[in-house]
Amino acid sequence: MKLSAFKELLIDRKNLLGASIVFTFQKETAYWTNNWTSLLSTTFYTITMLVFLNVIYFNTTLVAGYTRNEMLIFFLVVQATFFTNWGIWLAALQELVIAVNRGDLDLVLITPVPALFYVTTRRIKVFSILRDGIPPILAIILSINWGMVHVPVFNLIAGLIVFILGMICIHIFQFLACIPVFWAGESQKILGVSQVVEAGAKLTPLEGFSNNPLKFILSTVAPVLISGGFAASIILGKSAPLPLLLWSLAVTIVALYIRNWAWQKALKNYTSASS
Amino acid sequence: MIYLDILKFSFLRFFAYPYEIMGEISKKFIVMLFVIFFWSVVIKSTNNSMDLTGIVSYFLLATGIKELVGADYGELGSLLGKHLIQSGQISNYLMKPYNTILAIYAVSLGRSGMGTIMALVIVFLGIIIHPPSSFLSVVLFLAFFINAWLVAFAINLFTGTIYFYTPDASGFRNVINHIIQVFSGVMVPLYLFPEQWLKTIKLTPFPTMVFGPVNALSTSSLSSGVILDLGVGIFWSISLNLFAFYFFRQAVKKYEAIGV
Repeated sequence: MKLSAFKELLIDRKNLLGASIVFTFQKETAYWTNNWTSLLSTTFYTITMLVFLNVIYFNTTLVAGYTRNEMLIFFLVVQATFFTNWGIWLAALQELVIAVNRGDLDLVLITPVPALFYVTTRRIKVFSILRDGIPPILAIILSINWGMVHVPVFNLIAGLIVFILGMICIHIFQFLACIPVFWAGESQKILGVSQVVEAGAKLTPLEGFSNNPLKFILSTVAPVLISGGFAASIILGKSAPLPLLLWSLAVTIVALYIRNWAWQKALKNYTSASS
Repeated sequence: MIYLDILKFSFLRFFAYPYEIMGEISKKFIVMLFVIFFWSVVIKSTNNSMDLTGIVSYFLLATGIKELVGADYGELGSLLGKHLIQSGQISNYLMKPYNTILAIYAVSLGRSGMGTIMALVIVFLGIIIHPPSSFLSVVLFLAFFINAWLVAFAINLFTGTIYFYTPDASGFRNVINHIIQVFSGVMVPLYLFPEQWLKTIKLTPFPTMVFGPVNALSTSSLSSGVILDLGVGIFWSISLNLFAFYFFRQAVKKYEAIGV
């Protein structure tokens, strides 16, 4: 591809992304009660999780080798993964399932936009991430005793890279859970299963899995452990960064390849409402 | 009976998408698997001072009962609020000559039919692992279960009805469900709470929905504590239902349907 053509492609995608974000913002702010109740919901979730952690640490001092303070940092990373996935991709995936079910995907496919890019990024909820994410995350940050935390800069950078790679993996895992809609006509519940797997894997730190086969499954076939468990373990210095970084990179590359392949297969099987 | 027909029809509609049935079934098992796995890790960390079999049985029973009564994110609340009121389809139910709440409840039971069958299997497994300690436990279980069902019904009716007042009440529903998950005993057995917290929590309606019936199965004597728990449950099941039905009727009076 020529450099000028590549630049044009990037500009097109930037414009598309901008338009999607503005439209989603208008939708997000259409009803003022939603703003407050949504914030209330995420704040209450965080409060109940903090109560949950306090009850556990009332009965023990360590869980999977994590002190209460380390568990709070793990919880912070896990919450960041939730808000990132929920704010950037999840709504678009839910909409994709509905669009295929109703035949609305035609409208995307006949317009001159990169379809895969558009259907996975058309509902980026910037306002919701800020509104619902910042207060609960601040509550967790304030609950952590930072005086007892020592994070080497290299671990932090490696942890952040693994976090980003892990987020791409979660997105692809959930995207693949939507794909059966092209064959079966519905996949809301299958997407729900992928969300349950993602949420379940966030309960336990990486060290809790020790050599359980679940650890292998959740870092390869259903790579939901990478953004939370891997990243927190690296940041807290409980695992060597390089092997986990390389593992995450390899899984992400394979996942990206599978995503493109699955999308092509799915489109070939798509029967639109008007055909 | 018309409500039974509605229930049957709603249940059969679910079979239109077999993949979805598989999804629904595996979802329940996956949630339980992760919760039990997490608690096995916690137990290892406490040098096995807690009993893994007891915890597994607790979560099997808690998950099953939660599903049976619709304790958190119950189908009735979701159907009434998100699917009927928010979309305006509630008008279709209000116009027909039957009891609206009963009809909607029948639909919700039909829609969650597969979940109910799964829940019965899960409860059965929990009982096999940890059988009731005496005949009294079975009687108490039934009494606590009726309370659980009534309280969960009222909370679902209330959270669904909120949609009459606001375009999207999912935030409110989430708040109530987050509280239920922790304080009903779905996520953590309530006996692990510090004693002072537990005394206060037991006065709220939340433990009645899950912890009450589960705990009843291991209760062998009718102590004053058990009678108090049962009394608190009865109080909440009556008062919350009175309030929820009143709230629903008031909301319907103010409802303006498009095209009616």
